Amino acid sequence: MVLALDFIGVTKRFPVAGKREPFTAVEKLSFHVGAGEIVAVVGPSGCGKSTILNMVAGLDGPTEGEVRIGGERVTGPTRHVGFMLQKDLLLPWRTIVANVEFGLESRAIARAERRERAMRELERCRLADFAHHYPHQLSGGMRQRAALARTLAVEPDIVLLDEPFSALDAQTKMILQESFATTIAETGITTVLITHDLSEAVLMSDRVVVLSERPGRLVEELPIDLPGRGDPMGRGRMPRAHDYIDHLFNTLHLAERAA
Amino acid sequence: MSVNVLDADAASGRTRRRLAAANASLAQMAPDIALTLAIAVVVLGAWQFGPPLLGVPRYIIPTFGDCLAEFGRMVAQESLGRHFLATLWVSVVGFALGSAFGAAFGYALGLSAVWERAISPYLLTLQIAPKVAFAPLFIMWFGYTAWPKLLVTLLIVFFPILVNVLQSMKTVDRDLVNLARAYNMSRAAIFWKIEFPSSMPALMAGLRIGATLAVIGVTVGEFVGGNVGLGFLITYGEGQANTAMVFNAIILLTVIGIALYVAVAAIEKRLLHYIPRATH
Repeated sequence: MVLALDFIGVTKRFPVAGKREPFTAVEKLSFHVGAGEIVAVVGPSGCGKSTILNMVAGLDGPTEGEVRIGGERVTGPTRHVGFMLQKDLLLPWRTIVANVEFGLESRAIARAERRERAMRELERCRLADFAHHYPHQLSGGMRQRAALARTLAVEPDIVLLDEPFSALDAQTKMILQESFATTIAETGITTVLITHDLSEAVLMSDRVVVLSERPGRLVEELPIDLPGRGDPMGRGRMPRAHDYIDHLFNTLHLAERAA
Repeated sequence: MSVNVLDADAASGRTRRRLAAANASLAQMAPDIALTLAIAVVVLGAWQFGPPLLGVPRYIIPTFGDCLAEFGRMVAQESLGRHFLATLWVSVVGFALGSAFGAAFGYALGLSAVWERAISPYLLTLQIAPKVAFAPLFIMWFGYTAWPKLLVTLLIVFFPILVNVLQSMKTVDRDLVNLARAYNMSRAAIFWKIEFPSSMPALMAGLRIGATLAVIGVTVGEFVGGNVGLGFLITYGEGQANTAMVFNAIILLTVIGIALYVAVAAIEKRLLHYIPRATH
């Protein structure tokens, strides 16, 4: 099943110790992510990206408004959502396959089936040969692929990727963007890609949501009208992709801020 | 099926790698062992021939030979084996109980911020109080039995383990806990799958410290009361101006401490195999 995600007038405030004014992370945020769509969220640092992630994952509720998954209001962690951070969050004491099984352990699934599903995901992420290695024996890129396998093993309807490539070197990053895009295209899962990297946003998504500086408000929604979503490298060679990137660059006033 | 084959492959691969690593490290260690042994020969030689050369009497520093002779006499006439085993037994049991209680309290307080705040001033007080000073008190309470020694040992081992475990519970990666929460895991599952294994390195570090402290607890307990154990032999030897006996008892206490430490280190190496070790 593939589900849509909606933010409807979402505001999130946090109380600040020793201050009467609460801290507003995001304000009156509304946007829609269609079923099977990949939407990239970009914005300056501190625009409330991790707050957005926590609210979709059901770890934190909005102060005002609501977050809906498949039309249903999110009130706590659900089995619909898988998320992945910049850190791979692999448990160092578990082998890679046991790490992939981790998300399945809170569900009523027999051990043998768990192992089977984990191996299938590792196959898909081309890590089957490393199933019985420990995380410290793998490179950063492989560990991030293992994290994707863990995320997909729970068969989520929505995947949240929070800067999954930002800790990797430039070449590994390109290879991994390609491999993630292919995998996500295969599964057809609704995806929210939170990123700092404007070209990554353009190359990997169907639409880019631009947020303002704190508190995060919606500045622009930019549909990316390019073919080949499953192939970021191919998209990168299209001149129009660079027009989109330039446009985002201007929207975020990066040139003025650097001056 | 393919999974089982992979398992077997990985297992035999691991064994091969481990064997290869063992051989390599033995080869590397050979010069180190030779050097260590050479130092031992020099020290023992200095001990044997130094004091007589400098005119130090044997009731101040008995030579290595004197200590060996006294060791034989202690085995034959003072039932050294019985004293040694008594001390060993209290060390091991006291260490095990102190560790178990320390870890249990550490995890319990780590799970409850309220209780941790409520109890920590008392814990700090108890931690600062010199545990060995409790020994006479315990003798007044429990008489000349094994209990006072066991209690002092337990108490002295308890705190470093509690503090280490509690600290590690407070520094567990929040993102890992959130990941587990997002997967709908229960509080108990989060503890057993994330927090407990995360705290392992800190627990093992606490156990190492505890292993070295356990012997101190037993020794003080035996100083103060009773007529058995290596600590008792030290006070007995002192009364008779039998310096060699005191030397021997100290050496045997050290042997017990080393044995405990080595056992903990071996368990740690097995449990924490997944942490890449720095190579020099």
